[in-house]
Amino acid sequence: MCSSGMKNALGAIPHGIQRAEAVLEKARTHPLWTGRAARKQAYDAAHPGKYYGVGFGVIQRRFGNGAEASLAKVELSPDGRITLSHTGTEIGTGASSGQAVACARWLGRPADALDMAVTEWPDLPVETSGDPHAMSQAEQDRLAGNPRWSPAYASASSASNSSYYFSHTTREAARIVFVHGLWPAALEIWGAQVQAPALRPDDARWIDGSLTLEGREPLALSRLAAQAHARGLVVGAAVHGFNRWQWAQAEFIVDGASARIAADGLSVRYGDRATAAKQALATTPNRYQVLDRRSVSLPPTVNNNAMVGYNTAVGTLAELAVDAASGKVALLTHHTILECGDMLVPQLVSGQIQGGTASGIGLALHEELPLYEDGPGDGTWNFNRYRLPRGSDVAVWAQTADVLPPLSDSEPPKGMAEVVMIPIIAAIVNGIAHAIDHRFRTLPVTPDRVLAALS
Amino acid sequence: MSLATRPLTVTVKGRRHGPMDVPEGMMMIDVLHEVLDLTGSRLGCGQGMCHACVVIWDRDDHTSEEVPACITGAAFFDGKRIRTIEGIAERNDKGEIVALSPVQQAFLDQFSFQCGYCTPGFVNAATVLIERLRRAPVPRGQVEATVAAALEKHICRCTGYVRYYQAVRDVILATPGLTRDTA
Amino acid sequence: MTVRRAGRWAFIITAVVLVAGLVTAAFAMRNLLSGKSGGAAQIVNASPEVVARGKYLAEAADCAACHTAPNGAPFAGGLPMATGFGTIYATNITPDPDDGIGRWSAEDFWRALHDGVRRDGRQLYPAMPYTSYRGITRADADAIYAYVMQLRPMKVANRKTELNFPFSVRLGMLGWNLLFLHDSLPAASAGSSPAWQRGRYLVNVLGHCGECHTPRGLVGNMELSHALTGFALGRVAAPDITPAGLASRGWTAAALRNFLGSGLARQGSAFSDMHPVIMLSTRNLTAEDLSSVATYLLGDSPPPGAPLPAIPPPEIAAANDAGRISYLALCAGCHGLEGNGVPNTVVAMRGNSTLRLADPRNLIVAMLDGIGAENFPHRQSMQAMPGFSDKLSDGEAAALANYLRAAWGGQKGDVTPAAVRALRR
Repeated sequence: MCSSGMKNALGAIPHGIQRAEAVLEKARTHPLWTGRAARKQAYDAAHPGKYYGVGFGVIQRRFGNGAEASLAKVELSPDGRITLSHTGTEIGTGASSGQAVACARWLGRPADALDMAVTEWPDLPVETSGDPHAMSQAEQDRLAGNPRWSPAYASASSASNSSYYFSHTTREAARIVFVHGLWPAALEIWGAQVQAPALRPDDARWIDGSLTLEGREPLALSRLAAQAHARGLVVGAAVHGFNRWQWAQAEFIVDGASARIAADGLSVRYGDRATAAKQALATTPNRYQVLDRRSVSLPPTVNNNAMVGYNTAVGTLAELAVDAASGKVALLTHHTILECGDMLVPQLVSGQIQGGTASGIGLALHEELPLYEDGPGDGTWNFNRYRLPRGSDVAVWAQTADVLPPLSDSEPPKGMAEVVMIPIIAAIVNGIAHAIDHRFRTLPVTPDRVLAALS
Repeated sequence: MSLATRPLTVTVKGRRHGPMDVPEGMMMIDVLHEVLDLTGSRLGCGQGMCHACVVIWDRDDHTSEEVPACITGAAFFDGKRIRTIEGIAERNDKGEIVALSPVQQAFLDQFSFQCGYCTPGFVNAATVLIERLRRAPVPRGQVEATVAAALEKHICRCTGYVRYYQAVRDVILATPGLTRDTA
Repeated sequence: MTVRRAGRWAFIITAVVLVAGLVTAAFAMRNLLSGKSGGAAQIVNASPEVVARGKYLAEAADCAACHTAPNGAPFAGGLPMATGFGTIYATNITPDPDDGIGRWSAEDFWRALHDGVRRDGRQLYPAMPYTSYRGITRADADAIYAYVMQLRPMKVANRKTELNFPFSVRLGMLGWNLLFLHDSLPAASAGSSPAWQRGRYLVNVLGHCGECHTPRGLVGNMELSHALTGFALGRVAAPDITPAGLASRGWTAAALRNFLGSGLARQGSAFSDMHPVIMLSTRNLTAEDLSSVATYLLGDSPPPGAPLPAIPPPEIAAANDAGRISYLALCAGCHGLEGNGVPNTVVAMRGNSTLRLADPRNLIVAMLDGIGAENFPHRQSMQAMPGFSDKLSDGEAAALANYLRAAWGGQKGDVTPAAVRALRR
């Protein structure tokens, strides 16, 4: 098992804490697992011709492709309405909900309006060229001299990449608005500018949508936004982020202050009553000032080699019964244990577990697409031959799941989409082995194949 | 070559359309999409198996049933009354939605759908089920099995069904008159 | 009639009845006396070749169709068969010593198949088709015995038969057997080739096809003078599979081989009670045996298959407009505007065997009940056909049936609304 700090099979050390061990420990002590021998004995005796089995599967899987990028823009209106724009696309995964919620860390509440799948970014021009997976370090260093250049422009959307990768740019943009807009506005309202060097933005807390610090008067976002607009502070930020198993970092001068951020492109918008001098700097159509990075630190190309990766760990227990007369495998229940950092929207994680396990069940037991002449290449296959799992196939009422709490509230959300589809396949095949003492090595395990194995 | 046509008159959520000349072999899903501009019913498998396309047929005896629009000809619906997904939410005179149905609201509250392609079919199926239970309530202990039987034919690839089923079950348990206590 | 003559007749009849009674009693006593109870569990040492041959023969004889209940353990019995005389439950034929046939010898097994007598001496009812298995060779019966005796024993108790009096008296089967148990069944076709002989054995004995496809008389006996001409034992009728019947519906030897081997042919898909026959039995037959079956069913000189009905001329459409519109409304979405079906998904109307049956029963039942989704060998599967009993009135269904039969069946449009109503559940 690849533990934290261990090298992976490719010789690199994956980032972060590897929590497969925690998943395994939970599975090991789960009643489905501990009681499986006794339950098999009882079930088989009570159901002649049916054979009970329990199986387990676990995976620690990388999310992201080593060249993830996105653009995010967060903007506050004078009355405190939050608008988020993002290159990320809502494909039904709930990325829009997740990204809206991601704004809450720095702005106290989710975004009010969303624009997803934004493809035109006149407020933050970014250029890209070459293949981020294949270019040499020397080439990347050379191209990085252009302050607009990044190794990749924007990633396609999948379920795995929004919670971690897209949230990052969303939160960076929101953080810039906070540090350079809301924070100075709060200090002014609190009359605490004099103590500013000793007070840090990170010490402030959002409670019920209002910002407070060391017992000072809680300030609602609308009040802070009004102040920021009136004082011409930063009320909007657009960022471009790039990740090759590390985030690109760059240094900018933001409204006179030096800022090192985990992004390689930045533009800012000042409040409506900013000075004429500031307004003159805001040259884009929506009145953003595009900032040139003073220095940039792009993730080294060597990261492409060893797939260092961020990993999510999932394990699934499957409880099933094999019918020796028909060959059918009935899934009685299944239990999934997932660690995915901090969840943005728990219902979306839960829904993804339910959908992913269903897909895994389909691949393990039902879905078959033969090659060559007899298969769907002939254009005649429909759902009568390509069998998808239905409600009755997925233990719809009995299934359960357990998401491990994050290690701390600063742990970012991890990608966890297709990963939940995988361990259940192994769990089912292992469960069948427990049931009838035959290990299948070809999927799907159809009734005909079970009958052949039993005869 | 010319297409033989037949006149079609169909009432959709109380609004009468036609008589309009429709090719005699046209399936109802194509009439909804191409003639009536009601694109909410989804074309999935085109073979009556996935049930994303079902519309609600309201019969004269005040019962209703799901009918797959992709394999049922427009000719079947001549003179009949149907509801499509567009007619489930409550609308004002201007056609703006003023209230979602309890099933639709439950699907939102419980994050029941993901890509949304199968959702019109599930909404219609749940709507028909609830109307049936109003006429013939089931014991509370049978609600889950009743929901599963009503929704089993509907295919979903994204959700794994759980939140759909739970939302429909919860609407049934929370709505007076749909269940009874004794078995 | 004079008193003396009447008396003489009375004497003769009484004598006949008495003798028949004594003979019956003698047979009964012989069976019961030779019946066994208790005894050691049998240990059968058969070679793998014999067991494999027994498995093949058990599939050809389709034991599983009755002796494995839906959702039941393999060969553990429990399937209820609703006959006109009450319900009979198939028995546990796994080698469990107490609940199954674990104490049965090969001789006991042979007597069951050949004579319809159980190990305990009691009669079997002909729901167990010993009337067909009667023709099985001893060697084949022994091979099946060897196969069955190495199955996993299942502790599933047999259910008591629920027949109405007087049919509940098993002794009555003795008299029935005297009249209706024959050493061999007549040939339904003409032939003498080795393939025809093998086919006769596969069809008349192992496959026991006549048990469904041959009409039955009042006391449930097969009417052997009408062998394989078809019968409605259940809701869906088993059709006429004599050479003339098959040919009239376009069946060729190749089509029969495809149908029995895979459940699918140009003539349609196997459904209702024939579907399990394919899935459990005939799909396991060797190519040579399938060929022999086809040779027997069609005879050594098969009659030419009736050609496909021509594309329906406009007159048929005009004469059946109401039915045609129902077809467009409810059927064409799957079966095609031209009746060509959808490859590998929906059967065609053109060439469909059910439409070409003179008896419209199966067509009406299919229209009313629908047909469930079914899997077939080679990862084939037919989607479900919905039932339309709630969407068609008797008149509409009759008109639709007449259109289908006229357009694609070459049949007369003689289905009446009353015929539809009679078949509604």
